[in-house]
Amino acid sequence: MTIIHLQAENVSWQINNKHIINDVSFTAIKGETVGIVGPNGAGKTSLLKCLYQENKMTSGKVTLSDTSLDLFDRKDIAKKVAVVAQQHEAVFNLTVFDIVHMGLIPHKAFFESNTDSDIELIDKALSQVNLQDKKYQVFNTLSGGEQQRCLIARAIVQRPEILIMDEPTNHLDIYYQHQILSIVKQLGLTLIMTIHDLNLAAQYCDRLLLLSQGEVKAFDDTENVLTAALIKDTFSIDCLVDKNPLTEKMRVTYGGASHD
Amino acid sequence: MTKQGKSFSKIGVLIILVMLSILLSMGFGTAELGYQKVWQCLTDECQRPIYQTILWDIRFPRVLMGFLAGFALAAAGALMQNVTRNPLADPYLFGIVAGAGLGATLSGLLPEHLQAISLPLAAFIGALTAVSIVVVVLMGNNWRRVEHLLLAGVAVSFLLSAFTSFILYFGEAFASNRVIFWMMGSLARADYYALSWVIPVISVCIILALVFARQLDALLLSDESARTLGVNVDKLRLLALIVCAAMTAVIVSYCGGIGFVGLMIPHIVRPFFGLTTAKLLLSSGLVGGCFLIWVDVVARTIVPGQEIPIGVITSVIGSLFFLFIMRKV
Repeated sequence: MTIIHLQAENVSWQINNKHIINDVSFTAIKGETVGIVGPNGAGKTSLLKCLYQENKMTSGKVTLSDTSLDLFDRKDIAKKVAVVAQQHEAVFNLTVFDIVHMGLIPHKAFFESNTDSDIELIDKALSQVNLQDKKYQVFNTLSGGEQQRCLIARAIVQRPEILIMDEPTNHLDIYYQHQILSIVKQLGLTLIMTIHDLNLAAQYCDRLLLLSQGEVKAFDDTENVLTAALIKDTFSIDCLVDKNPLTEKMRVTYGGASHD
Repeated sequence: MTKQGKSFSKIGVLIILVMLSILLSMGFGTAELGYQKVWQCLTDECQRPIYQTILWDIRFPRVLMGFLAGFALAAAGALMQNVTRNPLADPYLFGIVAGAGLGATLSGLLPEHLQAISLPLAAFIGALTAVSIVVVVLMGNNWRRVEHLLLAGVAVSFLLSAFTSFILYFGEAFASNRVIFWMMGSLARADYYALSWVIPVISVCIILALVFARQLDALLLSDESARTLGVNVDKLRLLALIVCAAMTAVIVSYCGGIGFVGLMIPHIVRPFFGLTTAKLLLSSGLVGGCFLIWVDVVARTIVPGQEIPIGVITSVIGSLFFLFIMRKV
């Protein structure tokens, strides 16, 4: 049975009277992976920020398991939705443990200290992302892939139902791109992420939301969105779409920038 | 031993150091008592009743005030640096000292019949006024930007200092001197009445900061990341600012300007105790308290028969410390 886990209805967001997100609607079914794709400046990150309320929507509504987000307490949302945003350097020498430990915040009352099971949870999350040996290493000294995995471990400790990720594979080499995505797929959460690489989107996403200039160009199963015509129309690039013989998923092969 | 157990024992060591510092430092001063006489007074009868008076009415409140001032300034500095994610932040940047200075100047230089309130109270009101100006200025959209908070603080600080200088310039020389000496910092004004104000304010502030310790930790990465963890960032930062302001203001009111403690101590403490709020606050506080106890010993003994302002010594040590760090890093 399909249960709609998160639903965005007619979401719009504007800043300085400029429409960034215009009337976007989509749903995420429990347990599926929705990829948000589109050219630079299409509003992918802005749309994600509307979902986790970093951007205040100008109009529209986001519901979580049939309840409007406005009706939730900030802390209750944090118990259900975890966010791995694009990376930034930490100012201080925070350790991996310090950051993963933050995942406990929404679950703790004032003055409540860590229990043994909390520490167990942190250790388990660290081994899930294969960072158990770097527990006390300084975050800023980690590689990009390790930093990303550290933030995923924090999201695991947060015990959410939905995980929102902004460009999780940015700046990573091919191995880490696949490693990160298979780690998060294994968690079995509802996953909503923006992603640049259409081949990664083809391999890991169940459905794709194609955005262009803040509007929905297509929202459908991955194989219906990744068509040569739609890609050419949105990204202005000639391409060939066929099946990847190794994964049996869609494969996009690019020609060149189209000039017509 | 677990990581948590280790930091408990490290805090334990600091507490023992503070106890020892309080005991030993009571022996120093214009009247050299020495730790043997101090020990005798504590465990047995004092040799002479005058020792009793010196010890309990002068030395003890002074040493305790030194500890509390160091504790409050260092803890406030640590808290400020964490919530602004700026290792150079310091409660002094928010115009607290400049405001207190203006308050003190007004109370000291106004004509006799207008001097309705004492210097410490006037200084306290001045400090809170300065912080309120910073907060009101930032209440709009800019409130979310940490850099604006720091810049507004610096601007208010210079503005109020300018007023102070103006009044001092035209003020009567003797009264001006009094205010200028106050601004250099001293623990000489410490007595039990002052402690009865300082202790409750600092206790409440520290408890408040510890209640929100976990939420404050969330701010260490970024505001957005803290919000996704369910933290109300704007309210929390305002609360932290008020806590720092109250702690600093009550100390500055009684002890004058004691610079660099809040800036320097957290830098010393971080490598040993990490960054998380609860540990950093307590350890900075204890180290800061210890530090100021001994700086005050130097202040009251280095020039025989005379005291030098404690703020002068902390500023010298603090600035040399920073220059030293720059060379090393």
